[in-house]
Amino acid sequence: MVKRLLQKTRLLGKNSKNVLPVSLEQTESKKLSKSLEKNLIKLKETFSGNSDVIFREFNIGVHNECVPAVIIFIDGMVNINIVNENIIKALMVDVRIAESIPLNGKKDLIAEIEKYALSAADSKEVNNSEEIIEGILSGDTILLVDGYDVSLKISARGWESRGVTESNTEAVVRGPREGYTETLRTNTVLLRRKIKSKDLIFEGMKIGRFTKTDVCIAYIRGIANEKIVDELKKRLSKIDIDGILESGYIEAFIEDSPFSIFPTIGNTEKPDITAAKLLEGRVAIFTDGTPIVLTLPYLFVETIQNSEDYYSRPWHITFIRWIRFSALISTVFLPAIYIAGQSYHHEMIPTSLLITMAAAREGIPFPVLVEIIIMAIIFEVLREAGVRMPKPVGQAVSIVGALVLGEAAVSAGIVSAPAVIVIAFTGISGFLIYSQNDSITIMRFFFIFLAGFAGLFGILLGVIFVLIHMAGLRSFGVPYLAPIATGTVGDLKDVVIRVPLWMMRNRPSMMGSKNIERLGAQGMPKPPKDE
Amino acid sequence: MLEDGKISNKQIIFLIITIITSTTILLFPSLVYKEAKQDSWMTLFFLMVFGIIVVYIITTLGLMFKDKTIIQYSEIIVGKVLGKILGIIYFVFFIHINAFIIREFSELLLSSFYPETPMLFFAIGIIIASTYAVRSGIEVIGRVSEVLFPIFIIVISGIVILAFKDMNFNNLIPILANGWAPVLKGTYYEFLLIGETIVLAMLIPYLNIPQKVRKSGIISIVSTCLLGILILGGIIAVFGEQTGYLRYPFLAVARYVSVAGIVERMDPLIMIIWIGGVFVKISVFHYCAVLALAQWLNIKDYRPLVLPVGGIMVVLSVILWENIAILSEQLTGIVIIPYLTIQVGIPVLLLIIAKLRKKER
Amino acid sequence: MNKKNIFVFLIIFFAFLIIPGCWNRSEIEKKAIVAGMGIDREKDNDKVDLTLQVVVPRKVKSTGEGEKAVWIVSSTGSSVFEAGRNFGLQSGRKALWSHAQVLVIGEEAAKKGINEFIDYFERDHEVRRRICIMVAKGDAKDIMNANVEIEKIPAFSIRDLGQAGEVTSKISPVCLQEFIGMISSKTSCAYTPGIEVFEEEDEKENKEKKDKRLRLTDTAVFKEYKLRGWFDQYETRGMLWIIGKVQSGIIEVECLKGGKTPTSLEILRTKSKIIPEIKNGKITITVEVSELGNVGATPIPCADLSDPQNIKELERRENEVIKKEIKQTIKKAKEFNTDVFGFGEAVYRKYPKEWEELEDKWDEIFPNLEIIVKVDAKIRRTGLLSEAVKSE
Repeated sequence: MVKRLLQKTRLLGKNSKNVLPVSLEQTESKKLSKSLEKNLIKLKETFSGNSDVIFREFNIGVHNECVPAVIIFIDGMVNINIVNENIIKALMVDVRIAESIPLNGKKDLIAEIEKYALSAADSKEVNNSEEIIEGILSGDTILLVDGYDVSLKISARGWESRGVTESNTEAVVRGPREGYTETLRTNTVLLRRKIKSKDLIFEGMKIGRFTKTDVCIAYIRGIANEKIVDELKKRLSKIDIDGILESGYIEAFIEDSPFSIFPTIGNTEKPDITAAKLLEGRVAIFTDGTPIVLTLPYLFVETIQNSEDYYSRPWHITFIRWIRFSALISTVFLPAIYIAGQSYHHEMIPTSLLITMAAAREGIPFPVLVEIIIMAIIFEVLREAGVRMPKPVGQAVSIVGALVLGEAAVSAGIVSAPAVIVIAFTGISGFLIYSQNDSITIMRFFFIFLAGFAGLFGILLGVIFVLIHMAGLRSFGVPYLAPIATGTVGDLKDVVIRVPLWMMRNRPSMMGSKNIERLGAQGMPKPPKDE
Repeated sequence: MLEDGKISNKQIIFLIITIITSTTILLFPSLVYKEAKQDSWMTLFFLMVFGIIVVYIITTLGLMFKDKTIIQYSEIIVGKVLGKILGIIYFVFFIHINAFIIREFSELLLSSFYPETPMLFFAIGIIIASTYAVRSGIEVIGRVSEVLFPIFIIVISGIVILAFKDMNFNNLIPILANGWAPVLKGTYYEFLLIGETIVLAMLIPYLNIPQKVRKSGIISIVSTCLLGILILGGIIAVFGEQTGYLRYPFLAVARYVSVAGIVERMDPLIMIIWIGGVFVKISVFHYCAVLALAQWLNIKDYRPLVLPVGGIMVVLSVILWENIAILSEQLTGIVIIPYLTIQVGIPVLLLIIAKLRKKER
Repeated sequence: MNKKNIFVFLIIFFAFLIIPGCWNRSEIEKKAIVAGMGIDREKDNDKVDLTLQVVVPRKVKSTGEGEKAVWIVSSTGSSVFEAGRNFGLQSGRKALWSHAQVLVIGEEAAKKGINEFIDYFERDHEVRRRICIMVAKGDAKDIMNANVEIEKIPAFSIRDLGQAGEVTSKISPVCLQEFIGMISSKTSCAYTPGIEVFEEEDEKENKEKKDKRLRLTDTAVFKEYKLRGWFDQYETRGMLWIIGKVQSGIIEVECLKGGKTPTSLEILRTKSKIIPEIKNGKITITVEVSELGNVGATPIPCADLSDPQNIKELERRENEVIKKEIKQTIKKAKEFNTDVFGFGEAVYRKYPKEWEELEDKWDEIFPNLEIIVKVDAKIRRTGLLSEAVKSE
């Protein structure tokens, strides 16, 4: 039955244009009947085999004038206290004491219950069995009353979930610690608490034929570019998949260039970062079941930006920006440049360094290219192991592994010490810009090969290729390289340097936001003048 | 700022500066020095005047037909048949000049960095990159050049500044020892370079704000010449009379630079600007050639033509010149007149005819 | 952007790089890093004898006592180019020239003419223009073979000798670029520091085993690619005064109180100006040298240096000394007929029109040139003492 229903929904979703006559017929059959018994049979059949669905049958009112009713919910997905106190007790006991609703009148009992008896916060009338099933599956409680083809969907959701904890992946020294959890509502609340504005819009939808995952777009009306929001909605509505288990599923379906190695959609685990991005005119996508929130458009410069940049003072951050930038350069190019220098351009290395390196290379069995590739792969293996290893086995092993491996390999003369240094430094630099880690790793190997086959010429040709590719990329219409290569010098205030916050008068223009003013009229903060 | 697939006026400035400077800095100093000696840097003032005139002509013509390239409006101005002939001339010109550039590009890499590698390797390498760029569109070329431009300028001025210690400004005097004639002759060689602004005639329709193109063109000419003065002056101050017989004086400067024994061996930087700058140059001319052919044949999508045209350029770059001596001899000899005719002469004629016709009406 | 394109391009791109690839590839450990070069000409058959110091990287880090980390190889050929290639026959590794630090030319070879070498080094892109160029007194081979205690790679030490020697103003290091600049000028002549091997007897037991060491000596003066003669250290400083390259050093003047021990004055800053003048077809050249110095050391007893009068006297004597040095050098230069001072260039810069006639005759003009020397020496400080200890 479920399957059939779902198949039908899929059909509905798939060719919603030419399916109209069928759907009329179907809605007819999906309507509730007036008989509670019939409805119950139908629903029990739907949920047959599911032991966690609870059908609680009871009577509303006193013995002589009672109305049979049933509430249906999934055990564990509802807050049982609310169900007990505010639904069952209200209808069974309180109704009798207060006589708040006439049970035998001609009035609409359902409406009366909703108005006078039920003390739950959120309830809604539904008359469609499909909606009822969906409600039950999402954790709502359904109240069916005999004699009515309308049911009440009462929201008494409540389940065990992880509390709001410190984000693991985006650690900060200064700034809020809280990170998102797996529950959509908690996450939206975290964001809502940052931006208390009526213009912060959360638009919800469900994606996934089986999972029916709640997905929520968040943006600030008036700041976000409507074109981007509309485009995003269009792309989201096109997604037809059996399940969304993580926001990565969504990302894969709405990317501009799915084949590119560069991510064109960002992600974050922290509400403050999301808030900052929304305030810059970006759009966020919350997905139920994951703490990772997508933000878009995502531009390349966000790689070297960090939330803490804006919480700290500008001088140091400008310096750090350059450090990150050089880390980006070195993590991508250092092994390649090392190879180019070692096997092509000996004349370009300072003499004493050349001699030291030549001394280190003496007696190494592999050519530089092979040596570097081996080391780079070993590094990736160690990194992956460090992430996947069960916690108790822990980081200690990975560090010891790296040290012992490196140390032993060098002293055994299998790899040269400079190669180990190069790869170690490359790896560590990569951690400075973790958001591009995947693309960086691929690029690193790309350039290693190029350098091995054509030296500096190969590297530079590769750079040009990557540049052309990046220059052609867009993230929801915004050039990926903006604002570096799009002539918007003003936006560089937050890229090559980080000017004080009071100087960031405007939002970045590349988002195409209409509301560009970020600051009021005040200029540089000054101490008040003495009278 | 959602873009509309065009290049901004800032990008056209960067493009033109890169186009002219990239090959100039390495190739021309010694050619010019042979004529103008220590007054070489003065040639650039004449060049600036000439350049501004050229830009004025090309932009006046271009702005009369804002949404058309020279291939299209020449048909309107001089009629279908003559227009088609002019169109094919421009197509051949773009191919020939690009073959020239590719050859120069490969020659430098070959003689100074990779002596044992076949020339085709570099020619094919750069043309694959340029093909990719051209297929991605002029907008992408503009952006790439915008990324490369700061690097280009920083590297050039960095080398000049680092070489300051080794400069002997006595090398620049006496000023005008042999009068103006050698200076003018040196300028004559450089006309070719300024003529490269002919790409404007192809790119005006793809500008964000075509009305401002004249200003952009003049800004780029002036800054190119100022940059040239800096480079030429620096080279001559370092090398004096040796400038004349060094093939790539600026490369020699970069190699010679040494500050405190730490900052030295700057050849990789030269390679960066050489490959980056020449890439921009080649891809712009490649784009122009392909666009010219597409418009000549009235094809809507130029993409299928990109690779074949690139292939032709590579082949020509290898077979047209036997050795580098012939290449530089042609550069200061037989190509100047035909090139100048195409780059400046034809636009002037077109402009005159167009103006006359307008009056008639 | 067409997605398919990227892939097609990447495939072409990689195929293109990998299939032919690696022409110029040569691993660093397969290269012989040349640190220094010595060029001699064989006496009888004019062949070029190239002596190379090749770095042995393995030995650089080793702690062997006094062990040199270089391998000294000689190879012969009809030109430097060929000799360099012939080196490959002995080494099994290709030579890497771009890190060579010194180029020593043997005296004989220098006398026979070096234009062929210079042309090669200029044409070849590998050898740097920063390489120090020196002329050996004797054979360059001996210089390459000599012992240096302080460095594992003797060539580096030779290079440093030049830099360190600059401070004394008794020699002036010259790099290839500067040398070419000087020698390619039609009238000016080039100079390079000279280097020689001297033997220091081991004072202990074995008197036969002599330690060969290196030191910089005189300055070699070239005329038209040929070694013309040597300036001794005294004359070298005279030359450096004129071309304004004296950096520091000591001037000894007669003590004010007389006596054998001189007063030493330290040179701080110098400037020079060469002013040519043509009057009625007669060329006079004025050399203006200004110097600024300190009193470095003075014998006891000494005059009271807090007296400005005495300082004036010291300055006057200093002027005399400098003037003497310069005049001596000019005399020698005229003797050799070598215009190492760039007087010709100076005339050209001021009188480009007249120069056209003078240029060809410069060889005849230079020995008879009238040169006026003006020296302006100043003493600024007398050190931390105002008078010598126990002056009276």
